[in-house]
Amino acid sequence: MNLKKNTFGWFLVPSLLGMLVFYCIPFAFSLYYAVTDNSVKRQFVGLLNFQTTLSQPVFQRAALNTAVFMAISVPLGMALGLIVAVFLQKITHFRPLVAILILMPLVVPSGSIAYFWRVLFGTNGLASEVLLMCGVPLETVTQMQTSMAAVVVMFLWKNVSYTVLLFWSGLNLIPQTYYEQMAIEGAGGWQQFWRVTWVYLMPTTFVVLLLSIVNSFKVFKEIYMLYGAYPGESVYMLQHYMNNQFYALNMQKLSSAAYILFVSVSLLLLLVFRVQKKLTDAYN
Amino acid sequence: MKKGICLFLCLGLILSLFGCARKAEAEIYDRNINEGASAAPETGGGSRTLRVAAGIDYSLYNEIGLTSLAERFQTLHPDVTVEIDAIPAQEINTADDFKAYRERILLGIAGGEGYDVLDWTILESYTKMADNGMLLNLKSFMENDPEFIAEDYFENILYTYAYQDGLYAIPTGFYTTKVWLRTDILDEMGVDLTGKREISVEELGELYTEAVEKELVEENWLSFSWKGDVRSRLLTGFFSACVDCGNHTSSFSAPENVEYLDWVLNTVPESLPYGTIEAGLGAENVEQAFQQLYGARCFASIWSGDFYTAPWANYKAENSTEPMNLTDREGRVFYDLTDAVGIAGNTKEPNLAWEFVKFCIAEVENPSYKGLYSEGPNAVDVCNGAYTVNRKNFEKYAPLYTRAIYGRWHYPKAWETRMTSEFFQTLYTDEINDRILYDIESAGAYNTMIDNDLETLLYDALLAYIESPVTTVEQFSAELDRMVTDYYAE
Repeated sequence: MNLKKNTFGWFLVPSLLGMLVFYCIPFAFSLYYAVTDNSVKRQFVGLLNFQTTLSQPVFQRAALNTAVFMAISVPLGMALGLIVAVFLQKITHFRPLVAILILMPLVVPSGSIAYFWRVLFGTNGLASEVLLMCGVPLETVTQMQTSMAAVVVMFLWKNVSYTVLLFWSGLNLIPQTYYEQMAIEGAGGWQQFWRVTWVYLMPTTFVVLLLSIVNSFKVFKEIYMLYGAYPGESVYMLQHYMNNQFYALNMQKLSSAAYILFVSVSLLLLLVFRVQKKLTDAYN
Repeated sequence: MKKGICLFLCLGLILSLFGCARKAEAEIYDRNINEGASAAPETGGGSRTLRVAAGIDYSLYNEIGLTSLAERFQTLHPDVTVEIDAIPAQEINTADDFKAYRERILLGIAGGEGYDVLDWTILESYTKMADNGMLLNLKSFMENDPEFIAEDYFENILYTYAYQDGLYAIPTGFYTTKVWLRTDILDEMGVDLTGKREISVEELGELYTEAVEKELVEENWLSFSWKGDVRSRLLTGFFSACVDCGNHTSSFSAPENVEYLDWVLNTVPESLPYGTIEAGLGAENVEQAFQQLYGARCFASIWSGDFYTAPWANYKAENSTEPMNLTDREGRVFYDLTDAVGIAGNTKEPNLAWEFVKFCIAEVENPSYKGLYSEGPNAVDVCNGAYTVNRKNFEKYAPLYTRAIYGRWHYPKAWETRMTSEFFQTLYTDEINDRILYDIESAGAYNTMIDNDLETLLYDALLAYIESPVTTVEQFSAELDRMVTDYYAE
């Protein structure tokens, strides 16, 4: 038995080695960049780079935009995903076809989505033309093109399928006998949802929350493909800041921004885990 | 637990090793910055290596280029080996190929790669490189080296790469933009441009507009141009004028700039692409191109006054004006560079690197140059023309500014063809001295933004604006200002 256990561990070595070489060591090494002054001289400057980065208005704006985007897109995406998953579970006709249509955005490449979005919402897009024809002022149309709302809509269209898939899987795991019993006792649809669905979907909900938070950072590539490295003020994200620092060869600011983001997201996820634990204990 | 501790210790060991290596580099950097060039050459004996990060290596096709310069430098310095890191020209198929190569070089430099001299194709974002300490300020070398006399060089060209009280690269060749106009069309308009050496963008635009209104030409006034159309050159000059790279500010929203941008975009159309015609590859191709120009009744032709195509600087086809220099709205002649060199911030051989830079920019004894101009029935000796007595040490910088003649864009066979071509032989006249000197002294508007990365960003925004029916020029100008502000605020 011990021999099998030890042998099993050895099979993990290549993966762990790869993770060490391509993730852990570079991650640790970027901390070295973050505490030095430049890539040539490399003198230790302590937390000066972090201080400089945090005090930059452009970094503050990027952080605020990222937080706002996350605050809007994550709960909205989860709510939409849950609603669509419940709907998907309820329908009886053409469920496979509807499921395929709902999940289709998940498999469409981001480049194609960005191109489609440009055709629709771009500066020369169909939506812009329609809005102008409807009498919306030119300035308003221009502002709407690079607004947070457009980015949120694009992100949700692409990623809500993922939450639908996860919620749908969670819903299918809830025994139907609970609903039948609730129905016998006279509980309505809303009560059934709160008393059964919501409770038993809790673990899935937290998984979806964690993954949604992580996925919310992936919106960068669509924004970058649509608006370039310096998009409008309201959609300039932390990833834009870090990407631009990379191309400017400023590894110090890039690394310090990355660590600030890492610490922030870690704290957020720790908070989510604590809340999950408390709620789980409460329901138990 | 024990395994975790072992792993942690290994990590710590690796990081500490990196730290020790970097301390030595920091000392090298401090020495480079504080001491610059010293009167005494570096001692130490033995062989030394000079690493040059270049862009495209044309040495396979052209015996006269950076590779040959390096060979001649090694002949003068037997203890030095010059290693050139460049990508062979045949591996460059698209702009993305070169961009990927350039990024690799820059990341290597940022990661401590030991280059000593950087070629201009690596220096496209030299302001950022200077800010990050990746380039040395050449002024310290110039001031500490008694052999280098800055007054021997044309100041306007020499200080092209100036940035915030420093100088971070020195050009090794340049050229101006030439404009020829159809005299038969001008005659019908009643305009005489005889003796005019320069023409501004505005004048060109006004003449073109008048010609179109009188239905003398169609609305594609530029038949072909080298390295992009006139509008792109005007816009680059416009970007350069609006962006103060030294102070990190911009003035796109200023009323006069908004008006000018609107005029350029609405009045100056994109020129037709010149297709497969490549400058300097054969007299017959270009001659035919000129014939096509007149056959299509195009209004003007724009050509780079590269000195490797120096004959074209004097070319006057039937029914064309003398070649004129294109100027910006402030009267400064547009010029562009063929090459430049700078010294890397972490070089271990700063003095040797400076010697190489000096060698590149003062190739007096270049045998190829002498061979090209001193042989043949129509040889023109630029160094001993009428203007040499008026300019001290002209022979020192005439090769500097005419080195593009045998620069890396040339093919030996094509050049040989040109030299024996009857058509080309008629183009080499004594007036070339006058033209070269005038171009050198007039050059004032560098045709490329000193920050190429920012220029690319602005161009991308411009393309989006051109395609957009919903953004006004005022909104776009404000957007450009915002982009520049964010770019420098990061």
